[in-house]
Amino acid sequence: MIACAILLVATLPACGLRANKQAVRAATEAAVGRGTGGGVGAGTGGGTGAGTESGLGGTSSATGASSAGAGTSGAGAGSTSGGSGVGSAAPAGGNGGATDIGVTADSITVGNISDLGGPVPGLFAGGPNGTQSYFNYINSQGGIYGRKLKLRTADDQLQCNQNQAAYENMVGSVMGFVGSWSLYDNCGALVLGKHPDAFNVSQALTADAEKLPNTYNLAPYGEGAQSGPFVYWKGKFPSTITKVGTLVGNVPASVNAWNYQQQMMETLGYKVIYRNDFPPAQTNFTADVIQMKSKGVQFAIGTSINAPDWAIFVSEAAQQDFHPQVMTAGSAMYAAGWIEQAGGAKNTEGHWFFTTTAMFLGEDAGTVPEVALYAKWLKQAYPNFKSDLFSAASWADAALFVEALKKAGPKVTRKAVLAALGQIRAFNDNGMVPMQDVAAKQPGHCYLLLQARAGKFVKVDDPPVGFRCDGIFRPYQR
Amino acid sequence: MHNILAFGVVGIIYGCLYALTACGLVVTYQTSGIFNFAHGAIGMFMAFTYWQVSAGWGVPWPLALIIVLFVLAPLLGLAIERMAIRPLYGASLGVTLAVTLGLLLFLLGAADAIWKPTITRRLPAVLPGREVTIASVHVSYYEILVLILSVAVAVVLRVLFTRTRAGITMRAVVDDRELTARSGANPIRSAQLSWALGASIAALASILIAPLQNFDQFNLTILVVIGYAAAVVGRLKFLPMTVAGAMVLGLMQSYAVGYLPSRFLSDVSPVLPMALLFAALVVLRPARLEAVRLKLGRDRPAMNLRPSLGLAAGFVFASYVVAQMLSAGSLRTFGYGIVLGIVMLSLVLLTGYGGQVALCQMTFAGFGAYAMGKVGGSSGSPLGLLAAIAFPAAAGALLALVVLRLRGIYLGLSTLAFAYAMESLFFNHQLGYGGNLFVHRFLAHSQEAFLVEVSLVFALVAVGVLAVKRGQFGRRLAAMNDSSVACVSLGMDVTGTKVAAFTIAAGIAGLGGAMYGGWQTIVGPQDFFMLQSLILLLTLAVFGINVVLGATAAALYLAVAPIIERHSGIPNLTYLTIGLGSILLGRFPDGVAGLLSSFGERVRSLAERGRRGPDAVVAGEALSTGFDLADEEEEVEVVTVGP
Repeated sequence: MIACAILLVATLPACGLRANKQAVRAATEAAVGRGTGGGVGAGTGGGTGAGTESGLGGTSSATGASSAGAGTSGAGAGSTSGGSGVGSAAPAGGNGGATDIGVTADSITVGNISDLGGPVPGLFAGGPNGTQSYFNYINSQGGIYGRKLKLRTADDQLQCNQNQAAYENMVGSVMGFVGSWSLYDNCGALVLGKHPDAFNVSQALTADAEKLPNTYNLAPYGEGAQSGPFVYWKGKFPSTITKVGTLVGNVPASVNAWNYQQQMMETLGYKVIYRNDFPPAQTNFTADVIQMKSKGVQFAIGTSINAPDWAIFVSEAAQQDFHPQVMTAGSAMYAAGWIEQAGGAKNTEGHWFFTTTAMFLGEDAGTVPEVALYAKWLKQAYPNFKSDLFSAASWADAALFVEALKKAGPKVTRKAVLAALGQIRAFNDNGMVPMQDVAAKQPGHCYLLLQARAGKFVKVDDPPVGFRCDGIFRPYQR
Repeated sequence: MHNILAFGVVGIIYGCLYALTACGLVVTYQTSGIFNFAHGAIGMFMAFTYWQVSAGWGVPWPLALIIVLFVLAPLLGLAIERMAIRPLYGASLGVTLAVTLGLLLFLLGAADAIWKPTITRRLPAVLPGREVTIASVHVSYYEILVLILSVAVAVVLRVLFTRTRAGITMRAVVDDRELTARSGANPIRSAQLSWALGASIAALASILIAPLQNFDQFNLTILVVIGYAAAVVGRLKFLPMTVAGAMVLGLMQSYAVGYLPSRFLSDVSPVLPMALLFAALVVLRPARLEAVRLKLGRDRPAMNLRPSLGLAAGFVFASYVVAQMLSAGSLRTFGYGIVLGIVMLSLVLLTGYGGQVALCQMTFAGFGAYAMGKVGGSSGSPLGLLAAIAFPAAAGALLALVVLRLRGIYLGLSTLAFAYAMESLFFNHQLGYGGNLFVHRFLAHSQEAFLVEVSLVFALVAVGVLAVKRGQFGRRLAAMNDSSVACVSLGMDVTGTKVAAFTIAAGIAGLGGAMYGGWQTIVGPQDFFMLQSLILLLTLAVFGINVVLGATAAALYLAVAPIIERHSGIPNLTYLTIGLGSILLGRFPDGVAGLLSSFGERVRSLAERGRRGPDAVVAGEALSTGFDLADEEEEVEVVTVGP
């Protein structure tokens, strides 16, 4: 009895079953997938113009304008858009000491509230891990104006009230928030909204969090979808676009993300002939494969489905000899081990993917030094942690925060950081992410096209350095 | 025609997966009398153990399979029987549900702790790359193996339970433990064998299923929920019908994909298993009409009105004081516990007093939050509050009318099916754009003032529930809890009582939901998922499901423990206590409230001894002991009426 109790003590905690795990995963990957099909990294709407980013630190032409033509994006290494993150010492007259909440002469403390426990333990562990890794790098360089960066982490256990409570607890003692990832950030937004001076440099997964004036990030949430990859495939596989099939996880976030995407695709002439909003508990898709095959689907897309489920679908499609001309999925599939999970090279050969970060698993380490830097410091701090989209994005958000800190000056205040964030018109963390007009808070439009070849992710028709910046971000019309 | 056959083949494969899980569930129920919510979790844990032994430690898969199925799984089953199940024999359904649910959470937590869920794992491939084509569907050798083994397991189990002495004994123990013991059989040994067997079957099912889907802790655990439908088709008893039910379910799912228009498929597909479960429960006649099998604790009279009002006022005042002292973050956590307490009060009335197992109270709370959000508007109007009570109450009445004939575990499963269906059919669609709904507060708006309001609502509802217990309706609930058969034979309107109980309880839960929504200001579908109801039941059971004090203690605990946890640095203190409590339920079925009440009575007794003197007390004790012996442990015999 006692032994059982002890074991239970050690293990029950993770079981705050507040959400269906599959639903959580599907919602997460829909939120992330919006980065490829919608908000995160999607292009801006309006106007016309060449969608180029200067390779040498020029400002992005994407500001307030769409990018209709094919464009390329440079890495911006060492440019004003870079986030090289070299530390800076205190000036001769001192840095002003405790200039605001969370600030002392020696340190700046910021908060990070992420989904770390609950029904999906470690879901967004990449959030604090990526942020802390970047802070470790900056601190190794001496910090910013003589202050070391400290991160205070809280776990909202995938619960709305815990998310709110965490913000309530921290907002009075930390300078702001950096690198947070939570499916319940709309709950925390209610608290942050009452503290407009507290900055939040974090990826927003909900519209409520994104629309706060004190939220800034490198992949603004938008209700819509970017068209770039779909323009590309339309050009390359024109006969397939009227025979689209998809699977959508039947949770609101995934369904909404797909609805944005489908509307955008239909404006380009795509036609969805098969769609199944499957329940989170569904684990077998053979019937869907047979149905797609029977209906003649030639373009199968999985951007509102979680990575493990798409892996099963791919595996079953291979078993049933279902080989549409285009099999594509979003950035959630660009993950360590996904190709193996889908059955290896033979099942995934030629499959397409699109993503809005550099290839952070290491393929870009040679051309984007920031990728190598990120990998080094992440491994140093968290040797057992596998790099993922969340840690990569949080690294970049942390770099943005540091950029704002430097601009704010030694006598730093919350207000000064917010003002600095509002002036950053071009930032790409040295090529880790596409160039982003941070102040404009418009979804970007740049991405990378990838294919699985011989069991590896490779770039296809991408510039040698940087991102494709074609297509537009099409807002959702209700 | 070609497609019909193709979808048929796929449906049969789906059906085999469900049959494997459902057969194990039926075996455990038939041989222990306990509906084991943790069946899927046991299988999941063993599947991960198999992965560890084979892929992790490199043991060849055939040997690893033998070790897991014939050594480790039976040992786990034995351990579970000894530590968690043995004290449950004769316990009420609510207690057994809570313990098996606690076991589910324990195994899930253990699996998450040992095998980090963020790491992708795969089981070793068996017969990879080989397949046959049936009706243009490529069926792998492995899937054929699963099909053969599913049927084989069902056949072997049927033979075991109908043709072998051991199997017949296992079933007999459930029917009449004492008589079986007198016949020379060892009930304990038989129970051990049944749980060892059940664990092995669960392990086999999960190990076979895992390669065909996400190898994921939660996924494998929850798959058994779909198997409930098949198990109920077999009336938790007949294995051939269970397999048939599983096949029907698989075929339904497959043909739905094949032939339903997309716009209907999205709505129908998620609820098919629960629709079949619900239909099976409502349409199929239960095998026997049974009186409730109870282990009655001492029936403690409800507090009178005046003291209950006094305590209520004290509770509200204490909340006001607390509201002034806590930080904003702690205040938010504190209030969350109180609003959940309102929903728990509905369970005290329905399950604690009335003996009606309901696993959907958070669903009704969700209806309340929805009504408040939609009707209450931006000002949180009183009309919204009324709607928050009326809408769930109406839903509760309707549900009660549909499930009128069901009792015990069947009733529990029907409410579970209802909750599961509402996830897809209602909450995923109706809770606002993007899946979130703003719910504004009635009356008070600041956090501190709203805490006082919520506490007042809790206190008033608690007083009301106590008043119900004291009144005629409460006596009817108690009678219905004791024996529905006796009530019917005495001419009591059991139907009306049951419907009224569900209606009132749903209304209270809806009111709690409106408060819950107002407390968080924003709600989403995940706030009201089916598993939320199960956890609420577990928490309340630990603190005492039969008494208002239990709900109060549970609410205060949920309010305070996370705050203590944060300040103390003791990780997961909240669930630590709930977990410990769930294990001890078999020994102390009245929960924490029962223990406190017993302790209070002993203190009063000692004080009385001190006041009266030893001689008077001896005489008094002899008298009261007689009463105590009469009241303490009264076992009601099962009365079986029917064919």
